[in-house]
Amino acid sequence: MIHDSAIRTQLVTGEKTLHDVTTEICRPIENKPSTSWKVGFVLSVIFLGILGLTLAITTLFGIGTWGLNKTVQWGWDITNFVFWVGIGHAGTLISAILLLFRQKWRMSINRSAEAMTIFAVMCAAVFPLFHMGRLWVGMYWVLPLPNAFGSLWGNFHSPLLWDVFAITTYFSVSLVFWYLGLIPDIATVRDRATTAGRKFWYNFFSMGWTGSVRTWNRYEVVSLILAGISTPLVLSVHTIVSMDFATSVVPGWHTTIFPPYFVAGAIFSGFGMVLTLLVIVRKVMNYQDYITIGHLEAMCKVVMLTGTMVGLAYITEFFVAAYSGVVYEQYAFINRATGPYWWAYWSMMTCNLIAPQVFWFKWARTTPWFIFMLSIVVNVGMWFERFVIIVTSLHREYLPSGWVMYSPTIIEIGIFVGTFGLFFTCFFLFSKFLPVINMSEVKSILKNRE
Amino acid sequence: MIDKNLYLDRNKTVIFGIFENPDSFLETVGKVHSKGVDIIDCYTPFPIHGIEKAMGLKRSLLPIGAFISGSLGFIGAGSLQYYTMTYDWPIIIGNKPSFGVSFVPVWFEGTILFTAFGLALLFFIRNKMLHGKMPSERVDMRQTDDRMVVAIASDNPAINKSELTDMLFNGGAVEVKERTNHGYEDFTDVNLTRNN
Amino acid sequence: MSHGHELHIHQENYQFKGKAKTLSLALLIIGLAFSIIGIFTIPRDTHHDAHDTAAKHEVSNHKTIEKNIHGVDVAHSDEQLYPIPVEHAKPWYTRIYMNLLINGYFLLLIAVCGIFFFALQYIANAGWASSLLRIPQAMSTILPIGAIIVLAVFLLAGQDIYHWVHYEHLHLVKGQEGYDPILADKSWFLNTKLILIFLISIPLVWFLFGKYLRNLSIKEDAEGGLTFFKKSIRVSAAFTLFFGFSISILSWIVTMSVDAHWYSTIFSIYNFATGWVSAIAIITLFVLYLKRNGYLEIVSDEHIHDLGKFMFAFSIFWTYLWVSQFLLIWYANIPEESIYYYKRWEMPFKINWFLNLGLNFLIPFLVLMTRNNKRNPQILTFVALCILVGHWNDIYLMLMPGAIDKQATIGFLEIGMPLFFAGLFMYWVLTALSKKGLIPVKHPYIQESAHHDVGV
Repeated sequence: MIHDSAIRTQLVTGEKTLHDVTTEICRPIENKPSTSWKVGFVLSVIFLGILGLTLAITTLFGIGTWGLNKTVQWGWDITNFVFWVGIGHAGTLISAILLLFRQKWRMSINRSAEAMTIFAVMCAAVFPLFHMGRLWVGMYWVLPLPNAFGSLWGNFHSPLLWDVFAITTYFSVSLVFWYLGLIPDIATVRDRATTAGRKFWYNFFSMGWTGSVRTWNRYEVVSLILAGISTPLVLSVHTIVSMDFATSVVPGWHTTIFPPYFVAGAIFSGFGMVLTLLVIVRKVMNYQDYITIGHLEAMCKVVMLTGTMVGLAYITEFFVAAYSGVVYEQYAFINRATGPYWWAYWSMMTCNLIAPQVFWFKWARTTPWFIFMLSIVVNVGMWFERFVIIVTSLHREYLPSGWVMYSPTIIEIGIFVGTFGLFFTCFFLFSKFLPVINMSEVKSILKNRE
Repeated sequence: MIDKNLYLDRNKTVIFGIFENPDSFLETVGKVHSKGVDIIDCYTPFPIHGIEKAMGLKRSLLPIGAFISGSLGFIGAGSLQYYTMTYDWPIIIGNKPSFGVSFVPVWFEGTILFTAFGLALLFFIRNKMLHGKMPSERVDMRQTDDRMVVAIASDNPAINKSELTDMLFNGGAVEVKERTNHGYEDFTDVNLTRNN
Repeated sequence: MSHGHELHIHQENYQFKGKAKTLSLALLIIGLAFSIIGIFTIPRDTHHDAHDTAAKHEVSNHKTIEKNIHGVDVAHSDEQLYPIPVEHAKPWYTRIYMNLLINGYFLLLIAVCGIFFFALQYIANAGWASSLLRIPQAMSTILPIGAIIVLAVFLLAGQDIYHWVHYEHLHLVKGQEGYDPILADKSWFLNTKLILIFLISIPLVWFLFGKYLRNLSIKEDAEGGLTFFKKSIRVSAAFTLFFGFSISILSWIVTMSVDAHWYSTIFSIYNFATGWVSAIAIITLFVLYLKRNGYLEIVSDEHIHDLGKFMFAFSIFWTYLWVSQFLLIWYANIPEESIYYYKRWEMPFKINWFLNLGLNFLIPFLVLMTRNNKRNPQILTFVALCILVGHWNDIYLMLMPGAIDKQATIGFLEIGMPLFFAGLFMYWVLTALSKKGLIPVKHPYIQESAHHDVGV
């Protein structure tokens, strides 16, 4: 028997009935898209075009177009890869970890956060996939396929190969989790469908869902187990991403705190992006009753917590470098803070450690436009974090002959900008064709259920 | 409206009680079950907490399936790495043993991947779910929206039909109907009205 | 989804008597007896006093190390920059202080993680555990004992345990024989004055936070209302912020600086995980004990199931941190770093090394995987005890090799001292528990806790 204390804030406001939830959340699917949706979608597709163009150039002319004759090499691309993968983590955190902790406020945001996860991982995958050049040849390097190069297999001792397995597992498990959660809602849309197209497609994807309690019972068991295994999975993914760096002996990279620190950073950046999206979604799609100020406040608290954890990791790293007595380690950190890339370092510190501290104040946590601004700050800060880690460590490595200043090529910039096109195109399609809020879960937390 | 392709046991006549309030639905299902009446199934738009207890459902065995598929993944990922890196073509890197700690990450990921996929697959098989399949039991088109349906066999030894109908109505059912058996195609759908 | 039925919550008053009292006293006496036997059986070193000859021993004899780390030329490269500390025999009584330090530090960690447990319930706005908050609150009262022991050991035997304290007293300057540039470089942090400030102030602040939060909760019993609850949330948030930073500092001081040349950035989180999972195991044990004796009426299998989940999850979390640290050091294979594991991979620590993974990972992971086991009191008790022994072993493995290395062994002292402290802990915490009401009856979420159900 569930019992909610009277002092808890209502998770869904506006005295919704079950039917209200269905109609309001199915509205965008059943009606013609609004002008703002069309404009946003067209813009995203234009950016997606940039991605297509730059990737075509990369494939045609080779990865020399990425300016790899510098010692920092794929600095820009790995930065973007880690940035996108990190963003993905919030979705799984919300749907899996908050499910395990029974945080009910997750229910109206988990669908969109998980969608964001999947799209973000897709954007991330662009960089390592295309850095292999002609990727149809590169596949032999990453997948254990029998091949014509002797019995040479992919190298399982290599963190890069771990990453391939981690990211693919993460992507596919997230997709399964997301799809399972969608099935009951797709069935709802199916049963309300008026056009032949909707009837066919939503029927196709609903897999014959009827809402049988026997199915629901298994469904909940499956959700719980999937949440249980997604939790170590989401930790492992960014852990392995961090090991791409930390297993090497580059000063500033080889530090044992990297795994939990990257995970905390990933959750932090992911929540930043979730806030960016949801502040807009709730406004544009008129979902203020589902994604309430209370939801935003809870997410702001998570941002503050993880931001402080990341800050603690920065300070730990800095302290231990000073404490270590290793001159290379010490130099790497001094160089970060005072070297030629000092601006990146201090942007990172300001955006990630200092800025989220404003969320100690209730006003900051409950004012949507302010939250939106701050979420952008967080996104920028987390991009800078990866930039700082990667570029400042590589541009002053052991060999002074390799000391350079780094700048990306126009193609690289195009790809990064293009990934935003990919991300938002997917997100716009998602918001048009699928219920943005998990109807069946939200229905289970309504107070007023007549 | 009853959909044409019902698949509950065709040799039984079934009474459906349709509810609008989940709390009274849960309570009524519990009451009916505690009378010793077998509940065939319920259909709800969202998971109602405690209904599995009210219906007397057993805990699903899917976790065992998950464990088995996870174990397969554990063995699979381990043997893949062992075969490629230790047995078939060992590569010595940094003087590391050819079978060592660096296998942990892929080993872990493989286990997770198999657990998740195996579990999802077993879930679909167990529920007989398939892409494009027509929903088998739609008593009310709003059962995925805001109605809850309980399906009970009408020839129940523990309770007679009118008692059951009363019970459902008194429990808050907005509609009670019966599907009688006249073969697959020509079933009839009888709306039972309140008689008290 | 308010289902109406408000349960009436009775206050319960725990009586500390009977078997529990006998057991705690028995543990105290047996532990003390074992410790005394242990002290008398430590082999005495008669040939020299370590303090006088330490300077000579400081001159590194690299030969053994050179042989041991395969393929890495430690001794010749950077001899001036990175001298590897070479063990010299510590006075025989160091082992006694080491045992005090291990148990005192363990006690301190558990007590502060107890405070963190209830602070976390407040900041996470969690309701399920509100009925058992008095247990971690009582655990927090033993914090001063742990803190005093750690401080006393540092003051009395710092020179013997901590290489850098000893080095500090030598006052060597550059160019002198035995000068250690690494330790000299660390003296801005590793100096007795600063460390003493931290060692005194951090546990003091923790204690005050714990006491204040506990008082708020107890006052709430009498007066009710939301003021105490709201205040608790704010204080808990402040505590959590302080805790994050301070536990890092404390773990650097107490455990990491034992291997004064070595460092690892994850170490503070690893220390926290050790204390945290142990604290949860202890809370579980107390809940099971109280439940068996008819207390905690509103705590059900559901709560116990959740505690089981916590033990399961955080044992995996601990393993995650363990693997992260080990894998990175193993993979990079930098001699200054890998020496840490190298020492622990040798006898007499090899057994502890395996015990560490077996007790702290394999047993909780394999046993607590099923739902039924998480709801079974006997199995939970077994796993909780494994976790406690395992994490004691973990701290043993953090401290012993760096301090007395080959002189360490598991004898009467190592068995007796933890038993003594277990008895002390039981006696102290159960006494604290018996002094106040057992249930926070006016907690705003107490009804939620009473109706708690883990679901599928």
